[in-house]
Amino acid sequence: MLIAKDRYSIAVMKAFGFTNSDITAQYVARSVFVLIVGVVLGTLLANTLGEVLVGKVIASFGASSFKFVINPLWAYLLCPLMMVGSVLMATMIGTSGAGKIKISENIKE
Amino acid sequence: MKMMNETKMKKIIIGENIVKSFGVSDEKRNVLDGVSVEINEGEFVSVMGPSGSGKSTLMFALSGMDGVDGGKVAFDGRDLSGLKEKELADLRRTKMGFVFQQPTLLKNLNILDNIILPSMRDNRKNAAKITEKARMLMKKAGISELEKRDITQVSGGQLQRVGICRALMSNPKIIFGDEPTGSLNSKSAQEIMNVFSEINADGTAVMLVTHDANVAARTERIMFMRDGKIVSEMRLSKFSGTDIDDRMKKVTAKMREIGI
Repeated sequence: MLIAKDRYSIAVMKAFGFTNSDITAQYVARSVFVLIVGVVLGTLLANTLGEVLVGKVIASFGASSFKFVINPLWAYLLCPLMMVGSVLMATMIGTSGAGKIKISENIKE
Repeated sequence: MKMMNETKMKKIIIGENIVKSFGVSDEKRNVLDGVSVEINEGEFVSVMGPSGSGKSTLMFALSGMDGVDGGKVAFDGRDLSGLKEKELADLRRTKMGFVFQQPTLLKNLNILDNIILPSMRDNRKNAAKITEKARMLMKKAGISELEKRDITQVSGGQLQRVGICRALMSNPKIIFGDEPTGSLNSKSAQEIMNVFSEINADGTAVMLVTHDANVAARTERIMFMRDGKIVSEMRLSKFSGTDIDDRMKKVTAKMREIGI
């Protein structure tokens, strides 16, 4: 799926001398960028709006003293690392098909 | 004298008995059926033939973009079948240039970035020099004013010039063109052929795949293909720019003679 819509661009890049690992690196860079933006925004929002919003939902059940108890090791290190790991793995698996894209089949007239 | 010059010329491509098949098991068809070809440094060659004759497949095989099922292809003294994917990619990036019928440019980059992209892969530290070279080539190709434009904002002929500039960025030993004028009107096609002639005059070999006799007539050696084989070959003198009618007559006469 990840590379299906980009078959033509990938074939062009390969024709002009880019290797399969160059192409994978490009996708990894894109994914990591999106991930970093997501982690930073997620952390900021969780620490600001998150507690208020979840507190309101919980309060509707009658518990008004809700607050987040943050485990810094998990929240700021282990969880982001796990996300990085899964994104990298998913991207590598998703782009492994780039090597099978034949230049001739995708750009031949 | 001509013979002597030819023997002295270095062969940049040697293809021996190339076989390339498509299809599966019983329905396999040899698109290239034992083709042998040699291209010398600085030559201006064209491959002509009807659709399905195998001419584009030959170009893809000689440039290492496609593997072969039989025979051998050597580029600049290196057997392509022994090279890994990265080595083939390096070879394409540094010693070959490509121009296709469609411009094969990336939509998300502007004209200048499309031209410099392959060169930037190895040489980001020299970005200024690379950009300067791209601008010089764009000026030579008459498209200086287009560098910031999107590829959707220029004409087909201009896009082909962009493709040619990109192909020239690495000072390639050879430029391969697969029907490079196929989607252009006759005026733009003629202008693009003039650019190819200039490139060749500067010493770069050019190999064009075409079904257009007008294009082939401007080259100096024409290989005619049919059913996966080179069935004939003819040589012409250097194109002077004014003798196109005479050359066309020779090419069409040859085509009639061999029945393609």
